[in-house]
Amino acid sequence: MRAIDIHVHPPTEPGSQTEEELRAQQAMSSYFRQTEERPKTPADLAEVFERQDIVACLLPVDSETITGKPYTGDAWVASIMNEFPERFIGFGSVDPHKGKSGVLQVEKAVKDLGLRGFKFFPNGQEFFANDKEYYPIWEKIQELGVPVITHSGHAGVGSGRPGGGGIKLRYSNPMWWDDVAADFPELNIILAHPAWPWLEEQISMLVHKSNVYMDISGWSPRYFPEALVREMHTRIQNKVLYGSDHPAIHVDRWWADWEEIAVNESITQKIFLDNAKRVLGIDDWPESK
Amino acid sequence: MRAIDIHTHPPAEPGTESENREAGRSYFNQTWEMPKTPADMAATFEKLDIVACLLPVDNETITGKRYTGDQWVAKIVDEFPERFIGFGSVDPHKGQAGVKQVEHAVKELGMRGFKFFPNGQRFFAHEAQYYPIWEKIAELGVPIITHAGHAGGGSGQPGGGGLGLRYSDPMWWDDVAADIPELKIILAHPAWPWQEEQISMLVHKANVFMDISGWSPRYFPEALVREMHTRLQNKILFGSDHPTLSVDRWLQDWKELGVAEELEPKIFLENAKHVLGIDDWPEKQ
Repeated sequence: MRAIDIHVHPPTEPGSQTEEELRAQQAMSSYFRQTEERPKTPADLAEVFERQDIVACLLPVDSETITGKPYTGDAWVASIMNEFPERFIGFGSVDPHKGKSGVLQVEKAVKDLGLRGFKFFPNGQEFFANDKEYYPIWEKIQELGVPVITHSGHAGVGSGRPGGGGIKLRYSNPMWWDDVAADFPELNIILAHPAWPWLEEQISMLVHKSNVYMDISGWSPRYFPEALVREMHTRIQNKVLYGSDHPAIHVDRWWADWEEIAVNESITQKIFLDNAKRVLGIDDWPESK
Repeated sequence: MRAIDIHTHPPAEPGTESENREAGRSYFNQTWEMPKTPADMAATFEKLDIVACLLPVDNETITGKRYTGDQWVAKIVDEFPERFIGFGSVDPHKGQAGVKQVEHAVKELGMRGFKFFPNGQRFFAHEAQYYPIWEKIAELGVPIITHAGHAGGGSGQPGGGGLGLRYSDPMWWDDVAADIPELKIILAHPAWPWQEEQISMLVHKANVFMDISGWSPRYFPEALVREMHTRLQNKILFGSDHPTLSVDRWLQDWKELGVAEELEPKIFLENAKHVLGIDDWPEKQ
């Protein structure tokens, strides 16, 4: 494998999407100016990444207490992973409002389903990570030895709609996670995306906390802020993980645009592979039994 | 009319002049004359063919001074109906009395929006206790304009004159914009040191706008000028902050900025008309 893509969305589970979700997805496709086809099946997605020789981490989102819809994402991701064990690494998710049952859910996700980390989306899940009520979940994830990946910065979802579709931006200021990183030093936290409009806060956290990382998904590399490109070459070169955000940003487009920015080759091996292996705690993929 | 200036301050009501005017003169390097009367101010804007929105501030529960700004602004607008558009204000700590006040301001005094100054009024907009006021303003169908970013008031004084800066982080209003999507919110001024947050809000919320008052265009952050030309061109409203920043100086410095001419009709007129819900001024009866 030439890279691990830490940030990929699984295709929609058949029969799980409501009309409203479909509209929200179309609005987001327009925000990202998507022209490519969305993958309809796991096989479509596997083929795209097979061609690129990339292993993709699949990130679902559990926002059951907000939407009222039963969450089946963990089982769905596990089934995709079982079908294409060489191509995908499965993440789980948990609605942090679930309390004790959330703690049980993350335990089951790792021990029974074989998931390798947990995805959070604070804007959609409506939580501030530093609230003590969520600490039992962070503590359990730390104990399980897998990382957290959390959306940070501006939300593509809701962008340009009245009231931003009801989505509040404040939740995704990465600085809320700095408390969690301080209180759980063995928990690895990946702040997904350049966290604009809080990019400087994000860089500060990466410099300050050895257990905090970021991914560079969701933005065409063409638009990477200058501060990010500069820091990526120096003191955060072990903290930056490649991710595309496919299919929100098509992985092929991400790579085409990456070619346009001048990145020193000495850091590409770290960004595309080594940093992700370390955060995920894997030596190779598929793992030798 | 060639433009709507969304951000001007009414001359002080006789007998209510503030002791802080002198400090402001120094921060803004004010060399121009302050308008002493509504007629002075009307003459300035008449000469420029600009209609000016007058923005008072009600901070009655903080200062203990009775607020008469709404009546004063209404009186100026009555005297110069072609030159001015009146905004009201309400101290958000007034609760139900504040709800009545905004209703009275629109229905009885003909006000077209409400001005807030979170640093001076000492409130965080996202707190639930203020929502009845935001909801009433939304129901009345008029916009909010709120100070955002660094405060000129108090700048350079011991303790910044007692003004807390955190209040004017525009992001507190993002919650309000999300919860009340039909309420239009204008974030006044380039919101430095939260400039990027402000741009993020403008991109994300269709009902959030900004004005470019209070800064000489000469000092506009580069990111603002870039975004103004692309995805924010329908979200930016001309404002001067006159007389804190003289409208004549603002317009002079704007010429130096080199903004594409095709943006000017939007920034100077069309965007403000859209937010204020007016077709022309003075409105046809």
